[in-house]
Amino acid sequence: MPAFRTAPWLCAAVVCVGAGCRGALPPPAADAAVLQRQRDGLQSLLEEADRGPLVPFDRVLVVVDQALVQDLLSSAIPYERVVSRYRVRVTAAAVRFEDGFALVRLDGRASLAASPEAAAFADISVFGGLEVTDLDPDSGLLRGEVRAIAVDARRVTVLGVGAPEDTETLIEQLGTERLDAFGVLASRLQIPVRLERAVTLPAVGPDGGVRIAAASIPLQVGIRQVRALRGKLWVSIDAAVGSPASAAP
Amino acid sequence: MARGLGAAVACACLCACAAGERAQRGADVASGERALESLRRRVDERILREPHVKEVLERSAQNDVVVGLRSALVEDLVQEVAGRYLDHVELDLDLQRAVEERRVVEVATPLGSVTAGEWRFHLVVHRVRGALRTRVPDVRPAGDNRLALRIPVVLEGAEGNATAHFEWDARALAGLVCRDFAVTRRVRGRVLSDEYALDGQFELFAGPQGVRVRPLFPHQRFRLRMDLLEDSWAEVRRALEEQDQILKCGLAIDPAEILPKLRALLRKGFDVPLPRSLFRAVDLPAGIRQSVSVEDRQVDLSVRTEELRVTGEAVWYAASVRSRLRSDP
Repeated sequence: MPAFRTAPWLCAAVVCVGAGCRGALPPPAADAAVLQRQRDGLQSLLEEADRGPLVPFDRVLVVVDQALVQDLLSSAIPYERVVSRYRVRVTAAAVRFEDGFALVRLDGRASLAASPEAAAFADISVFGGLEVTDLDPDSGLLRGEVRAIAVDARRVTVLGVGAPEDTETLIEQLGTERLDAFGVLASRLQIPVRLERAVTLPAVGPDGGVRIAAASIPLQVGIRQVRALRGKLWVSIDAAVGSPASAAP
Repeated sequence: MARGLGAAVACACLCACAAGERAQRGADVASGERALESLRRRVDERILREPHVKEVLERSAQNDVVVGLRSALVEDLVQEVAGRYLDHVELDLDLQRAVEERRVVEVATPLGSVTAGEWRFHLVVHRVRGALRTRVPDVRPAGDNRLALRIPVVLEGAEGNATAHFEWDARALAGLVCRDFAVTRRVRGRVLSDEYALDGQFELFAGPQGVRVRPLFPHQRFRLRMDLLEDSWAEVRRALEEQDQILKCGLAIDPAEILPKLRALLRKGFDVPLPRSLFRAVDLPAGIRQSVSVEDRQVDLSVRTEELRVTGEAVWYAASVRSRLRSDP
C-alpha cells in the first residue's frame, strides 16, 4: 500500500487550513500545484494508454518502491543547501509515487544565508517531482533529481512566541524566488539499481590447460520511460547486446 | 463606541469573507479530488491490464526493488556470453594419451607361408595446443530457472608433440635374416578440425546483488583425431626404411603398407575430457548496489534478495533494500 494517498492528505489540508493551523501540509498554492500535477499526470496517462502500454517492458523493467526512496532521502538528512540568498536546512522528506507523478516533499528551515539564523527564519516545505534522469556512466546507477513545483514558507511559532519580525519579509521573498532555484535541495540522488554497460567475463587459467582472456560484452542501455504509479516508480529501460554499431534496433 | 462597532463589523466581515473563501476553497479541493479519483480509477483499471504490472503488484508489491529482464534479452546475453567465452579459448592439454597398433606379418616362402614377425606401433601424444572457436550457440528455456545450450565448437589449428615407437619382433625362422629392432622418434602432429557439440545448461540464481548465471556442464569427452605433420611422417618412413635396408627385412616390413595403417589409427582418434575450468559464473548486467550517494552522503545499504522467479516471459529479481550506515561528507 502506498504510504499516503492524495485524498486524505488534501482533505486534511483543508481541515487544517480551515482551523487556522499551518505548517504540516501544503498551503493553498502548493495544494493547487500538486493537484494540478496529479490531474495532468493522470490525464496524460489516459491519453498515452491509447497508443500503447503505460509501462513498456520490452527489455528491462526496474520497479522502485516509494518507501526506499524516502528512506534514502531520509538517510542524508539533515543537510543544508544555499538557495539563491537563502540557507535551507532540510530536516524531513516524504515521497509519494502516485497518479503519474513522483512527488517529493522536503521540509526544513530557511534563513538568510548572509545572516545568523536567529535574525529571521521560517519553516519551509518544497514540493517537487522526482525525475530519473539517466544512468550514471561510471557506476551504472539510476540517477534522479527533484524539480520543485511549489514552495510553502511560513512563520514559526513556538509556545506562542513568534519568529523575529524580519521573518515576514523573508517569507515574502522566499515566495517570489524562482522555483528552479530550489532544485539544489535534492539534485543528487542515486537509486541503488545498477545497469552495467558491459557484461564482464573473468579470465580463466592457465591452470587446467585452459587460458581464456578476460572479455567484456558491451551493452547499450538507456532509460526509455519513467512512471510513478501505485506507490512505485516504474523505469522502462531499453537494452541491447553489442556495441552501438552492432546492437539490435 | 461607534468606532468600536465599526471595527467589530469590519472584523466580522473579514472573518465572514475568510470563512467564505475557505469554504469555496474546500469545495474546489473536494471537487478536484472527486475528479482526480475518477481519473485514478480509470488509470488503475487500465494499468492492471498490463500483465507485467499486475505481476509485480500481485507478487512483489512489498519488495523495495524489482528488476525484470525479458527472456529474449537473457537469452541474447547467455548466447553472447557462451559464444564469446568459448571463442577465445586457448587449450594446452597435457594428455599423455597412447594409441597402439600391432600386426603379425606373414610372408610367402618356397616352403609356404611363414610368420615373419610382429610389428608394434606405439604413439604417446604428450601435449596438444590449440584454440577453440565457436559457431552460433543455440539457447532455449529448460525450466527450473535454467537455459539449455548447445554450443558447436571447433578446435582449430591445434598441434601437439608425441613420441612414436616402432618395434619389430622377428620370429624364430625369420630371425635368421631379419633381426628385432626398435625405433623411437619424437614427432609432431596436428589435430583434425572436427566440430564438437557442447551440451549444457546455464542456471539463473540470485547472487548477493543481482542475478547470476551459473554454467552446469556435465563431464564430456570428445574424440580428438590427429595426423602427423608431413615431416614427421617422412621421419618415421626414413627410420623404417633404414631398418629395412640394414636388416634386410624388406619382405616383411613395407613402409608403404604400414604407414597408411598408422595414419588410419591416428585419424580414428582417442577420447579426451574437456576441462571443466572452461566455464565461469557471470553476473547479469542488472542488479542492486550496496552503497549509493544521496546529496553529499554515502549511504550504505542492506540488500536482501527476496525472490528470483523465471517465467516464460521474464526473469524477475526482487529485493528488500534498507539504509544501514551513514557516513558524513
